[in-house]
Amino acid sequence: MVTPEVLAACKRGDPRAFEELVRSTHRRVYSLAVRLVGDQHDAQDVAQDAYLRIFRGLDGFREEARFETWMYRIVTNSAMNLLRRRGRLVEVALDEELDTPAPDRPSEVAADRDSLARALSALSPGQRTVVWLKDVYGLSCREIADEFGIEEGAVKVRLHRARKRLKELLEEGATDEVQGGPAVPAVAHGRGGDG
Amino acid sequence: MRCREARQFLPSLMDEEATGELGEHVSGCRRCQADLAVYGEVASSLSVLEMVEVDPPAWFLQDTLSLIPSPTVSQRVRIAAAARPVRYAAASVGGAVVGAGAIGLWAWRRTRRAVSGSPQSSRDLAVQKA
Ligand SMILES: [Zn+2]
Repeated sequence: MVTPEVLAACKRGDPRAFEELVRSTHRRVYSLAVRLVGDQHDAQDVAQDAYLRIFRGLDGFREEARFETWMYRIVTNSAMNLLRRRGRLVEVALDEELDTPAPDRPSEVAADRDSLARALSALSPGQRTVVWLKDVYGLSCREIADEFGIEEGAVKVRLHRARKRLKELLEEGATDEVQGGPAVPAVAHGRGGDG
Repeated sequence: MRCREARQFLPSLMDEEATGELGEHVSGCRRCQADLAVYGEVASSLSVLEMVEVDPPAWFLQDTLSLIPSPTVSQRVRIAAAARPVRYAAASVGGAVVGAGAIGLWAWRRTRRAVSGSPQSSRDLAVQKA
């Protein structure tokens, strides 16, 4: 959690405040970057590009928004720019929408962290990215649509399908057998945050 | 509305209220309520992942810290001004106390002199003699 005092000092350009901001957020920024671009080396570039933009843009940040959401949006934008340069934006933004029928019976889900990680990695890259950004990092459908350059309605449809698929995967409890490997590694594994 | 139809809308109910026919069905259907509860469970498990972090390489932090821009001249002024208010406040309160004390003493002496018509100190006496 970045305090309002640190943000105010950052807005004055205080390097010590910037240092505190980086120290308290760099793991989260890096984690989101690696989840979006799927490659550790690219994630470092994305995270550092995002920080440069955060340093420059903090003056324009308005306190009515949650700072972390603003920060995640910048990381997302940097990630989308990198994917675009790599010609990979299409796999995230223009995801193939495959709808699978829901099983006929509601059942228990095994939503522990490992099952969730496996289920997430079994989603298509586009569905997975929408779930990360909306349900994990709290961006709005509108914000995600802007970053992908697609319609908000398309994001909503994809999110809807992704949630349904995720629930099915967790209900099946058969995600262990999902083959093919994740397009984005290390989707949920990692250390628990300290905040 | 039947369950099969209602179930198509359940994932969206994480973001919006169920209204109309859908709302009526869900509020009276245990199966859909159970399904909705599962969506809620998945959503709350997902929200926790924000704090599950992937470790960056060891050099990443130092390398990122080196990107912090040096403050410009005007920023240095703002930073210095922001660091000062405590000292300024203390100085101005102190100054106000001293000033008020001096004025009070002066007024008190004037009053005393006016009342007694006599000098209050050797310095006043010397002034009067001169
Ligand atoms: Zn029902």
